[in-house]
Amino acid sequence: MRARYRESTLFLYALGASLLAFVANSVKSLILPSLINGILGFASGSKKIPQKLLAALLVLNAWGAFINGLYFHNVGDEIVSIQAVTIRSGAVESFLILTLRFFLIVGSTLLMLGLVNVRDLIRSLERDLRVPSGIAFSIAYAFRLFPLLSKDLSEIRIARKERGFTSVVLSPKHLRSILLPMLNISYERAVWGGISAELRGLRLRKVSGRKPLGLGDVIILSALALQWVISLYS
Amino acid sequence: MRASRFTSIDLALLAVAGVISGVIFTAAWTIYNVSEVLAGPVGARIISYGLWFMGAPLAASLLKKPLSAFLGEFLGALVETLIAPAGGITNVIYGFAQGLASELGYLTFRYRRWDIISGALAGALAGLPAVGLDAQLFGVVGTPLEMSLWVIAACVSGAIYGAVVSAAALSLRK
Repeated sequence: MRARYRESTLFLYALGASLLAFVANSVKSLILPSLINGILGFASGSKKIPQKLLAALLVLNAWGAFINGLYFHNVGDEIVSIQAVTIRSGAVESFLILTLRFFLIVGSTLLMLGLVNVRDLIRSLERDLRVPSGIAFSIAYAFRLFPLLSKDLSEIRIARKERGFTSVVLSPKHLRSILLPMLNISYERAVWGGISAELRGLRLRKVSGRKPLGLGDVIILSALALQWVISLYS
Repeated sequence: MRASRFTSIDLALLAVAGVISGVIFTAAWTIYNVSEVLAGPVGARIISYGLWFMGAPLAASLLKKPLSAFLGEFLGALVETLIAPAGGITNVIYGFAQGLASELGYLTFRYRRWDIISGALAGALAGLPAVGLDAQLFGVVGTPLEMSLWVIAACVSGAIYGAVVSAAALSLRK
């Protein structure tokens, strides 16, 4: 039998796990929740998110954590010295803590994204967590717009290349010249999209009743509570 | 003060601001990582932090209604989380705090000014919670002088990008 769960419970789980990353500040308290979420999250997230992107995320995070440790926490006993750079115990500990936090935060988010469909998640946020229906409409509409805006952006880049400009944003001035045509097209689209939604009765739409808590919800929330307890008491 | 009730067109415009901001926020991660190596912590904040604060002035300049700055920033962060989970769901926490700070920028003018100056102020104010959350989550805590420099750098970056995005939104042909 498949355990039923609300999509919003997974959102709460990811939020709770991310808050744990804010609270836990030692390798000991982070290691277990981070490994659980990291392994499960990357395994389930790789079905929906390109593996190249996940690999890039890992590399970027490791690099960022290393630089961060070197800049801000390079104190304590000397571990290794490479030419002019001396790496000390504080930098290594900081690198480990940041990497574990990354696994906890990104792992729990990937777990959520791997198990739910974005559209179902938005519906569940509105139905079960009572997110205002206007906001739910905006989020859903943003996801509808996403492929259109990607297409607009690639067309703007082609037009810029043909005019001899760079297609990469290098300064606020460049950013403005890309933003302006995108906003112009999107503004028109949003006005007619909004009128269309109004005519189809957006304001009259009723939100369906809450989905009852299932066994899956209890398991997910218990797993989150258990991770908090383990982390706080270790 | 203008009516705060959001029409369907406002909600659709909010979605536009959210998706454009979400895409910019996602790209900002790479810009931040590259600029941190090339320009150090202060340079990286000046170059990239303001990109993460653009959702609020963009939405506010388009909608010109109370709470639009907060919702624009928050929605951008949510879209960023759902399209490319570089910062995971902490993006939502950052978006919430930065959105509230930016909203204060417009509240300062009693929601009467929706121009480049209020956009720059909204962008600048978002720098404060961003540096605070960095300290809590990523342990980026320096000496009081360093912390002050980071706050100033984040605020300056926010002001620049806030002004740019407000100018772009205000020059739309409506």
